[in-house]
Amino acid sequence: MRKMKKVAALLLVMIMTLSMMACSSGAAGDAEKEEDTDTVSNETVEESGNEEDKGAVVNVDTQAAASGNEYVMQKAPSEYKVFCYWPAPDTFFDSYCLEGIEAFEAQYGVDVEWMVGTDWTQDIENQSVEAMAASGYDLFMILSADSSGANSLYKELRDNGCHVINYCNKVDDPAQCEAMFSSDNSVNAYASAKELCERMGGEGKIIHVLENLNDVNTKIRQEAVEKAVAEYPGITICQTVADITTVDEGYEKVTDAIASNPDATGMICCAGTASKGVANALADYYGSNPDANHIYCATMDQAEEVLAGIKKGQIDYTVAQNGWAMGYVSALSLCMLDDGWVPVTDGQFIDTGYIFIDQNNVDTWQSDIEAAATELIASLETKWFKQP
Amino acid sequence: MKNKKINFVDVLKRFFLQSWSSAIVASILLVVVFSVTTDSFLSSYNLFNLSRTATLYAFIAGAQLMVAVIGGMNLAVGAVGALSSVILGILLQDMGMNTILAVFITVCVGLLCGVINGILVVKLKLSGFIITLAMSFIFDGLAVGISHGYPYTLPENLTSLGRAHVGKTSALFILMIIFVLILAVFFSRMRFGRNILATGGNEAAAALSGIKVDMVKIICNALSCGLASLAAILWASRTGTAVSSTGSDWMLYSFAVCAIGGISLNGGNFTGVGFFCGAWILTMIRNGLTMMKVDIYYEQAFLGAIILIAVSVESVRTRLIAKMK
Amino acid sequence: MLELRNISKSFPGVKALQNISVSFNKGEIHAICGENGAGKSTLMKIICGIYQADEGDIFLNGEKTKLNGYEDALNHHIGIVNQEINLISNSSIAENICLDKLKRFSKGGFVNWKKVNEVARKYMDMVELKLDPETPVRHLSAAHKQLIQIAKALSSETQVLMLDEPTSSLTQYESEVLFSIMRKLKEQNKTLIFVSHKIEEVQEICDKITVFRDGRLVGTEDVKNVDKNKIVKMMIGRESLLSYKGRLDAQNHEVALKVSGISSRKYGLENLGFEVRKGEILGFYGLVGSGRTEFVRAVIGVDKKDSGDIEVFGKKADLSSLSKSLNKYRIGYVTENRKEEGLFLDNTITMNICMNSLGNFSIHKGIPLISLKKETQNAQDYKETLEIKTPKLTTNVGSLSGGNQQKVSIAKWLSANCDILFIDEPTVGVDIGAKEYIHDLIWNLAKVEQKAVVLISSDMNEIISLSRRIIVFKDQKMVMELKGEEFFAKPVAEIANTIGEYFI
Repeated sequence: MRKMKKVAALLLVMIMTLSMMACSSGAAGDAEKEEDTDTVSNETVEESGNEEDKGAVVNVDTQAAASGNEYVMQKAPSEYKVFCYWPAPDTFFDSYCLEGIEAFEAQYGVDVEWMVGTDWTQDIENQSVEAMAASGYDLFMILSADSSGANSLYKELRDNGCHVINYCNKVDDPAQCEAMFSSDNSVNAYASAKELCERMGGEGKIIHVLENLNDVNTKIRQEAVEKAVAEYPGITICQTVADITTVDEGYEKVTDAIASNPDATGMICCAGTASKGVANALADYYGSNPDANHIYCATMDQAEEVLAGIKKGQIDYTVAQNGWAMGYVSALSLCMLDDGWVPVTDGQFIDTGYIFIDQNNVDTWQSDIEAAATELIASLETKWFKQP
Repeated sequence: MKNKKINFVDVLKRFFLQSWSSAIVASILLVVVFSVTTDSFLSSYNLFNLSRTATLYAFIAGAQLMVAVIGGMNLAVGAVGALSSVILGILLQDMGMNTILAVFITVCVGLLCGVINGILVVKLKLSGFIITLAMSFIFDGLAVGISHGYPYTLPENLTSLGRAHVGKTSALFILMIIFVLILAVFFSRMRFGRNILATGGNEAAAALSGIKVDMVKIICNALSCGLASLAAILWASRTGTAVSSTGSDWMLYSFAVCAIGGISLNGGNFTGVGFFCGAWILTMIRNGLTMMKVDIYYEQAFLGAIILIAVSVESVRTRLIAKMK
Repeated sequence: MLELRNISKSFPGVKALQNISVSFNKGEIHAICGENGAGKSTLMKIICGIYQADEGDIFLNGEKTKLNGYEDALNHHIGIVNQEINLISNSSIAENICLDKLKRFSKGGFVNWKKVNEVARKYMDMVELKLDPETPVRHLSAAHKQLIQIAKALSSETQVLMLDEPTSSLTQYESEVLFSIMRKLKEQNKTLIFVSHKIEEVQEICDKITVFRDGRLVGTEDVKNVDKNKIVKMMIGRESLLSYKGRLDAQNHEVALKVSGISSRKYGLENLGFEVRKGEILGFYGLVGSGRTEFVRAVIGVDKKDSGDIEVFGKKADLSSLSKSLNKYRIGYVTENRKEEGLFLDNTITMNICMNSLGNFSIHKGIPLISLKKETQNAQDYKETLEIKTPKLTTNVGSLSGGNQQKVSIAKWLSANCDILFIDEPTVGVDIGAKEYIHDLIWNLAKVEQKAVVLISSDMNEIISLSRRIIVFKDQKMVMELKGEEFFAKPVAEIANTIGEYFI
């Protein structure tokens, strides 16, 4: 009997392990499939992406966008060893950046190896990237986990003959990568706060929701928002909540802040995870509180719950960053660098821009993103990179 | 003839002899401090929210409690919560299953996770710390692996539970009271509950009293993870979405509630009142800090300090008792 | 050397010591005796500075001294060897001996181990411990550990050495070694204070004896002037009554338990068996490790048995686990380690007594809820019939004295209404008064309540006084069975000799 139980325990563990392996091999299988369809036109790939992904799809005519560009690949596609790293599971990467990367893969036939880490720490990032560098990859697109710590990783990679592009956020000056593709946190937070103040009619109290306090971007956004609000004498920030690293924490703190400030008429959040928390908290606020006052609300990120909030009128607008462009252009630029192109200024910051999504364009915002992406692709050779 | 004053002192003395009295004193202190220092702590909207959050903490802590009473621990509380959220999301959103059936299956998955934990703890004869630590990575990994971090939207009939009012309070709060009452009756009035406490009190003696200690351990682990699942479902019903990041901070809070509630982490004891207050105290502290608008960059430090004060009431009490004697 | 004058000490609700005056001289082994709770340990703690007396003074070499804490006592060359072994098991002997003064042997944070070993060697010689000072303590025997503790106490240039029941974990031979060392220390003009339950030991090595009862000093005598009965009388205030209790006449009763062919490879048990009848007390005599306890544990399913047939009241029974033995066949087992295996020390008396019989207290038949009222009533009944001395039933068992703990441990099985009871070493660590009470209790279980009792003991007096059939265990075998009511009517000494022959 005892042996039976032991065997049963072992079996259970094996089943769990097997199921895990099945999951991962499933993913690998998908990747192989995509390899097979390399030569097929990009449309079919995007269609298959359409089935898998839950986010809305951006569809840029990349051939047309690059029509004015001179760049042609010097090597066989398989010789470009591109590695893309994102520190922890996040829908922004899955939904937007990855689409851009896949579009690039389909167009140029280059296989981009990507990896999502387990936590937002520079330590894990260093370990993962160094392992890939050791196994022969030399073109890196990386989202920095720590804006100053990443620089030393970048420097080391460059010293070893690799090319590095930082995407989706900025690293501290002087940046050790060749270029950064991101929107400017300070600019879009300022713009978002101004828009909110306008919509509120220049009067009222705002709850300001910050995210992870260990991230310098949090401070940058906070200052930008405070600067914008200071321009409106009728508007004050009545409470700032912060230290949010998960959606649930965001939900809890925002709920508490609403209870604490019954007279607040505005809310602004300029970070992705916290914005999802805001969306959930507002859904709950209106859902459980029939006579709730309207709170003007601005968020960042185009996650599903945020878009749902916009459709229901619970969120007024959200700032969307151009994840597609970040993914596509970063991968493309790495190949250019590998072929001897050089950045106009080393460590340059290239703004991928932002758009507002509100009730008017909640179903059509992809086209705005597409337009911005097209413009960026065309400007690569005119503004940012030089031929050898 | 005794006069009234002496009786009052006597009642007070008896009150302080109870191990849960410090939890009550700490709760009252916190209510007083927060209602004096903030305007809206006692507003009905805030109390409604408080009662809902306290309920969730009670279930999360309940998950830890079931193993704490046998002197074990479950580091996988949060991970099981994450896995349960994801499974609930898949069943409801992707498979469009009936809500009640989906909830039932999710809880079963939680119980299964617990059974695996329990069997491993019993058969490998390793400490629960190691086993549940390892399992927590597995469960977390499965949750993220299955969901890729995507949130699942939940149907109205589930979210309405988390948002429902019952009179002046929330439906969830009623659930909490029922839950704590069941726990209290289970541990004081039911044979199996007593056997669990006995196992926690002295495992060897329990075995020599004819209690099937291994079975008790497996069942406690199963109940622990089952409660974590239930907590995840309630959490999802309140926030309206199911995400794999649910539960990332549950493990520490589950220990905190148990410790504040005067439940020995060495096992063998349980008081319903203490447990109830423990959940409330933690909720109030977290809510009250936002209410008081303390400097956000120091918030964690305040949280720690207040928890420390809350638990030190217990040590003051034991010293007072020693003096009274 | 050391003199206590008019010492009093109270704890909440208890007067632990009242007006105690006693003096300890150089070159003397002075016994302190008394039942549990008589005030011995409080006195020890006052002498070594852990407690401060409420009233009265301590004089060291004629000088009035105040001892603030154990550290202070050490500085006054007073040392104590505790009953429990307090050594760091992973460290070496030398490290343990010098632990409290490693500072003296270190320079800039680095310890001069050579010097430590040298010093340790010196004190190890004093206690005749011939081992390498670098041996880890972990694997040593209890006797060696006890000697290390003494060496450790001596290493502070101790002049007054207190030994708190040092022989409780030692064999007879090991005790003899200890005694010879004590005599040697006495010759070195040290003052030894020896706390013991065992009167024989006191008579063997002590010069003086001071007896306490209920926190008061009964008297100090020269050991050579008092005999055993006198000491017992001083301790309990009455004469020892350990003697022939009468006949049981169970030969014709129904066989309650019949066991045959029990084997357990793990414990080296082979093909053992016995039977016990209703109303009979069967004795299993043997020393620790003789296989008696292992055999019983295998029979009732605590440990695994490889083979064996068991009949309970004439029907074949499956005792593969203790829960089956208890719930199906009403077999109880009072363990020898009541603190580790028998009781829930941090729980109430009520909970302990009712632990095995919770099924009997349903609020209504068929409803699985326990009635707290019925439960408390049950505990109250046993408290009264067994005379468990406690103010409240909600007291934790851990705070009771050994004798009362044992009563609770037995009550637990009585409450479960067991027909067959195995009682293992019921009077270890129990004071004399409670010991007699427990003997009466066991006797009545068989005589009055007609239970089948198997008494396991290494106390020859106890087993001869209670059992009317004795199976002697030695080296995992049953070497002898003594029976016949007439045989047990003989004087105890004569029976003891018959058994003792097997062990010489």
